[in-house]
Amino acid sequence: METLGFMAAAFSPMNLLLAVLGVAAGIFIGALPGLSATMAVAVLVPVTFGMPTEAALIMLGAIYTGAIYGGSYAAILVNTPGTPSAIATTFDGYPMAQRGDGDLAVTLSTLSSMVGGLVGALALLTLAPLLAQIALKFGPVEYFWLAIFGLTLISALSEGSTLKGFIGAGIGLLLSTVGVAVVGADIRYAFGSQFLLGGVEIISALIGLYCIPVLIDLVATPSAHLEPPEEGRGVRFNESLGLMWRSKFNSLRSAVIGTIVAILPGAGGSIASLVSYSEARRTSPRHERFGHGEPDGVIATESANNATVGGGFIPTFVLGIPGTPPDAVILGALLVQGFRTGPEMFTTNANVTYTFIGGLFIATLLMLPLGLLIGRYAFKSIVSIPKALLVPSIAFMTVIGTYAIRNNPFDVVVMVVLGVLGWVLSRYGIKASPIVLGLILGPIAEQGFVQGYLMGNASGSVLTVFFGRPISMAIIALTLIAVFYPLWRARRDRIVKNSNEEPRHEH
Amino acid sequence: MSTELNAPRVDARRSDRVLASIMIVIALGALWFSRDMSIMASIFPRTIATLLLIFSVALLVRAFIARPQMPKPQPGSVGRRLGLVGVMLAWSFSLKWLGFIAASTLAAVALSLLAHYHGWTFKRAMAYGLVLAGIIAFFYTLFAILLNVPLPVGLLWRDL
Repeated sequence: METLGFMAAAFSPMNLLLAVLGVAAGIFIGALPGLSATMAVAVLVPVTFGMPTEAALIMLGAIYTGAIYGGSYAAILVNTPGTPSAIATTFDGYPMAQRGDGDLAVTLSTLSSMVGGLVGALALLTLAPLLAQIALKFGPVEYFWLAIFGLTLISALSEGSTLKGFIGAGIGLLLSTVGVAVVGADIRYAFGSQFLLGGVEIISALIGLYCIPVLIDLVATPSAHLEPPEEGRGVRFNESLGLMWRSKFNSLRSAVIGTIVAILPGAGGSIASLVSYSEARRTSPRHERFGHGEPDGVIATESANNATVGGGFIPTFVLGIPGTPPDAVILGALLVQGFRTGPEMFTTNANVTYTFIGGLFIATLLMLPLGLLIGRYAFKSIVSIPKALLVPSIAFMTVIGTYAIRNNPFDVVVMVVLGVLGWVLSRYGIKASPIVLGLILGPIAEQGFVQGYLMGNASGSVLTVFFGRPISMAIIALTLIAVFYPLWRARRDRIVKNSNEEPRHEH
Repeated sequence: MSTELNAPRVDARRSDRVLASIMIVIALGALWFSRDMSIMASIFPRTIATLLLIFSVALLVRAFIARPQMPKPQPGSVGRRLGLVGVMLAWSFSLKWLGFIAASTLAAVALSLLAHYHGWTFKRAMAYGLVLAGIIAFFYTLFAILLNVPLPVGLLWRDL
């Protein structure tokens, strides 16, 4: 009862107003390519310094929730994930928008994000201390295998051949090694350039690899960017509800996967939506339509990535280890407010924690009306803007978004060069997603790999360290399934197709 | 549309051979340039470069023994594509010298001309110009004033 009382404190008019403002600001910032959820939270943290702790946390949680959801707008409408966790949303969201179903994709994304957000917040409320123990069982080697699992998934899931997916992931991993080494601090592949010492900035690469190819193809033809929607069908709410009902297990499963994967600090956010997408495709009767505008794909990724919000707070609050980068910023804000994370967050400071969780529920529910309202106009405006205005506008956002990350004009040059490279590689069948994920997971994989190697050398057997631990073995098994299951399934489908065609030939 | 299930596909043997050859060169280059690194710093890039080499050789072999296919690339104007790349590169290099506002205004005008396929009328040019000026003003206000991002003012104007 006491918990409910603390949660009810979130419903004060001031807290509700802050949640509305936070969600709206988050959606807006998250929707702009280059402005990530981390940046949204970081930029607005100073605004909360003068507020009571509960109010500050509610506003930051609302911004974070809104920004993760807002990332899906750019993914669906411009094929550019607003945040790395929306990478898998581009797989089906953009093809849906291209064929004129962008309104449906945005509404599905809103509903799925709400379901995911509620499941994540529920897990934070009920299972936080229990789930946090799982995160503690992950050592450097497990993180290495987790990164490899994520890269394998994206390589196998990317449209085109798996071999090219692996080559793309290899390019991304190599790019991640540019600059000062994670372990050893050597300078690698900088070729004497002062600018390359800091490495390739992930968000710049993400913007370049996704946005520039879209721009290059936009100017190449006079045809419309997206098919215009049919008149008078609104946000297609009932249709979306029907699809959500059909995919209720997909949505819930994805939200649970998102929550569990998000408790792993660092790697969670970007892998969660990929694992959910892979599971959705594996179990779907329409698996062949994934990657070509299948609504279940959008439902899976968006349910998962908003579940990472609540899931990511679990290690942040219980262990003091931020689950995702925005959690790190919120952790900083908590310290400024004079709070220490740890078990006391759920005992001594339970009033603050449960009021915050209540605020998270409110923010997640507010996404529905705000998201539908903003999403409707976002799709209509993107469709109706003439190319002569759309191209400079997107280009403008890419340039200013990239520059603002480190206030460095060289990042803009890197963004454009990588974008052109990405376009050329896509003509050869290598998509942007494996490269970007290689870049994101590279440092995590390298740190785990080198630390595991050192541990192995010290203990006398490198192989035992990498292949002898139960969690590592489980992740390796999942990785092998991710590689071989699609091949086995394709073979099985071919055999079934051939056996169905044979009787016809006999006639 | 490229996203359709039955999108046209083309023979990928030649393009796969080109891609695999370039990737082999990159992988060998990564191995070569890792010679002077310490063991700790080189073990990961070397492993990745070796894997990249293996995958690229496999792709090359496949391109010779099988008939791989890939979705047909989207057709379109080469000139306009090159124009866009040129404008984006010029924009990124000139930010430091011309400053954010001047470089962005010039680039926005050039990109608008590249993306427009119909005739220009005075009314349309004015309307588009006003909208683009509004977009630049909005983002300048958002980033430079509200978010305190120090946008480049331009080395050229500073010396004037």
